[in-house]
This record gives sequence, structure tokens and C-alpha cells, in this order.
Amino acid sequence: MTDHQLPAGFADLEPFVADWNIPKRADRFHKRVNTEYGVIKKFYDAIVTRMDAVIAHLNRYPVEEIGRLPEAESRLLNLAFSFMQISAAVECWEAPDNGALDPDKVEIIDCT
Amino acid sequence: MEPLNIAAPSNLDRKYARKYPELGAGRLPVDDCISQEYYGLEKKYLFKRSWICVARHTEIPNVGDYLVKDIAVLDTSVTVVRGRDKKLRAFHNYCPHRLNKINKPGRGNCKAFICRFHGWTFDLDGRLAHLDNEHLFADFQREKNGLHSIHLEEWEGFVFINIEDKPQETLKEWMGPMYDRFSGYFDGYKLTGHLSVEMACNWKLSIDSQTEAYHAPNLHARTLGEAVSGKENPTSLFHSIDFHGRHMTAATYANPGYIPTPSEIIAGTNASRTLYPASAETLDKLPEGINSGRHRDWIFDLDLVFPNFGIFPSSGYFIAQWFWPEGVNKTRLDVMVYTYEPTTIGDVIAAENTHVHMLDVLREDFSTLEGTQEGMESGVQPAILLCDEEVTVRHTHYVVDQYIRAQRALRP
Ligand code: FES
Ligand SMILES: [Fe+2]
Repeated sequence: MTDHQLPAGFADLEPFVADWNIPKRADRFHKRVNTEYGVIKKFYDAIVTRMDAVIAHLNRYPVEEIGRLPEAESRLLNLAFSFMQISAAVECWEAPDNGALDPDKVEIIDCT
Repeated sequence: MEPLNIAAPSNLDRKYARKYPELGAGRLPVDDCISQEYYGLEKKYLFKRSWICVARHTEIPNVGDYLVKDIAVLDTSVTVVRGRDKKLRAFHNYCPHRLNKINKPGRGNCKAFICRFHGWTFDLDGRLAHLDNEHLFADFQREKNGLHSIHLEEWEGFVFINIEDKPQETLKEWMGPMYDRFSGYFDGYKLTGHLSVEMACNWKLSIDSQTEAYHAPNLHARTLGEAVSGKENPTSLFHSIDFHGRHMTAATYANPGYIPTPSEIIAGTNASRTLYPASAETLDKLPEGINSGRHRDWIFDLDLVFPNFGIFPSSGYFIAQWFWPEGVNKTRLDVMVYTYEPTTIGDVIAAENTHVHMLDVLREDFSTLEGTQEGMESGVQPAILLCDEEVTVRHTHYVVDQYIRAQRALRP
């Protein structure tokens, strides 16, 4: 692995690529519910103030190209999706999950 | 917290009980959710004599695209296919030769359907195109041995089937006042999320849990709760509940004082169209049937197309939800989330916010279903209590029962 997995200007998010560069929604959901809260919180704190910049950077690419982004941008996009996935854990219940329904019961089917 | 409504004069607040006296105001017996015999009646008199939504047309856009669904409550497997003439048709998925099941459940594209057993081949319009040894079948007429067709009609891009030999009503008649309410609304949206879950509960319980808002401030206390209840409306009373024959629409309150979370703000400020709260501009563009009271403090409608198809339209997305009975206490829920066509990558990231929160909210809803079924089967209480706002629950059970009675009388 090189030092530059993300586009220039996002070096501060590099440490989170290994955990949160997850392309599929179902996998992001299972990652969230199976990750310690402290780890989630660390990622949240690092990215929440950077999201506007992340989106501004990605918006330079047309939406039609979302499936064919350069690798660094594609990782950044997955981090943005992962941020949305973990946001409620921090903002709503301060735990990886809301404890509602067994996470394995729901099938999240890919629509892409 | 203050106890609610304890001193309210007995009937004055119960506006729905006054508006819909036929629905009654007493306890609602649980029998129709736990009786195997009643489930048999539902299959025979309700589902097998109804228009049932099976898909959205965008799932099978091209010639030869097909989808196959095993529909337990209809005791059949159904193939829906787009023919060479671009028209959609539906067939029972069993071969007329010896009734082998032709296609596996799922989706695909083909030029013809071939039964693997003995190779009978059917055109996309169901005609028997080829078979071996035709001359060895006595008095054989190829034209009479095509796939068994099922009546199919579309409404606003949703595909409905009816397995009766001769449907009693057209889909337009079936939809009644619902038919024109949504005109064109669904067109600008794209399927971007699909959840599926099987719950050990009666199908009507799963509808009941999604079609009242009384539960929202409690069950969704840490998710949706504050967005749909507040100082002015602590128990999330609906703006309105309307019954349109057997169907229903209800407009859900949004708390104008709600403070969005950081992730919601990020989603909202970076999207080209707000998902929540709805902006005045998007509200005004909604067809008259959605948020029909034109409330500014509105989040979404909860609509039910009788008997088992839910539509929850909002201003930046809509949910289509199928409640599929698979047994008296077994239900498959399919939830499809459609979001507006994105114009930027920021739109896609914003939509992700909607998807993940929807999933967590729905998991809260689903979490009550098996416990409720268990409670009903325990026999501890023969009937449940419903407040005036839960009139939607009364209505669902009432119209199912009325339909069964009427059909039984018509054709036992
Ligand atoms: S059962 Fe299909 S070809 Fe014989
Ligand atoms: Fe709910």
C-alpha cells in the first residue's frame, strides 16, 4: 500500500480507508453493526467536518461516471457513503446499532 | 410527562369514530390474525379475487425482460414479460405439458421460454412455438396449449395482476378514487434501495405497524421520532386520514421545530433537491392527491392500495412496500426505495443518508411484529385496543373482512 490512496487534500482521511472503503451498502451496514463504537466515533469525528469538501471534490465528476471514477475518488466516495451509514450511530444512539431487529434478518439487495 | 387526554370529554376528540361509524370503536378481535381458517378465506376470497401489484414497470424495461415471482398467497408462480410488441403480459409459470415449473424466481432476459423437462418452447406472448413429437399427442391443438395467461394491467407504472378467469372490475374501477390522485408523480424517480425480510407474523400486522403514526414518538424515539412529533403535536397525530373505498391515504405531520442532525444537514445542503424537510417549491409541485391539505409541516403520506400494497410518497423519494402473506403467521416484506434522478454525485451521497436512516427506522417497525403475533397467539386477550388515531388499523381489518363476506355471498 502506498501513502496516497485518496485524492490530494484528503490525507487526513487516509487512516480510515482500510476500514471504511466499502463499496456495497449491505457490507457497510454489517461493518457498522459489527464495529466497536469507539472506532466508529473516531471515523465520524474525523470526517464529519470534511464532508462538504469531500462532496465538492466528487461533484467535479459527472454523476454518470459514478461507477467509473479514478480509484482514489472511488475510495473517497465509499468513505462518504460509510459516513452516512455510521452517522446515526453517533448522532442518535451512541452505539453501533439501535438494537431494534437482528441485523442479519434484513436482506439489503443491491440496486446498482 | 403529562398523561395525555385523560380528562378529554369522552367522544368530542374522537373525530374519526364520528366520521367512520361503520368501523366501530370497540376492541378489535385478534382472530383474523391467528386463525388458519381465516387465512384460508383470505387466500380464496380476497387475494385470488383481487388486483395485486407485483412490480414496477421499470424493473423490466426491454423486450424479452421478464421477472418471475412465487406468490404463495395465490398458490402460483407468475412470470411477467415484455413482449416483442413492448407490451407486458403475465403467465402462470407452469408448463401446460405436465405442469413443470418453467422459470426460477428472479429476473432475466430471453427470446423464448423453454421448459427443460421435454423442451416445449413458448414465445414471449405465451404461444407454444415448438415441441417434439407433436404428431404423437392425440387431438393436439398447438394454439390451445400455450402458457396460461393472467390478466395484467398497469397503473402509474405499477404492474398489477388478477388471477380470476374474468376479473370482476377493471384496474381503474378497482383503484376508484385513488386512480387519478398521483398522476405522473412516480415517473421522475429511480429505484436505489431494496430491503427484504421475512417475519413470523400475520400480513395485516405488518400493514398495521406501518400505517399509524401513534407509535412514532416512542418506537422511533431515537430516529424519526423528533422529526414527526414536537411541542404542538407530541403524539404525531396525522394531518388527515382518508379512506377511498377500500384504499387509504394519510398525511403525516413533520415537526417544524426539528433540528436536523449534522449528517442530515450535510445531505440537505449538498443535494440539488431536498429530501427532508420538503421545500415549499417541491411541495407545490406535488400532485393534488399527495399531501392533499398542502401542509407545510408535512413529511410523507402513508397510502395503502388494497389489499397489500403500500406507497409512502414524499417530496424527494417514495417507498413502495409489498406485504406478502406466506402463511397465517408468516409474511415477506419487500421495501423498494425510489429517489429522484440524481444530477450530481452529491445527490447520490445525500440519498444514501435517506437509505440508511430508512433502514434503521424500518428495523424498528419490524421489531414489533413477531412479539405482537406472539401476544395475539398467547390467548391472553381476545382483542386489542385502538385509539381514534389508529382508525387506519380498524379500516384495514374491516375492509378485508367486508370483502371476504361479499365474495363469499357472491360465489361461495
Ligand atoms: S412439462 Fe414442460 S415440456 Fe414437459
Ligand atoms: Fe414506524
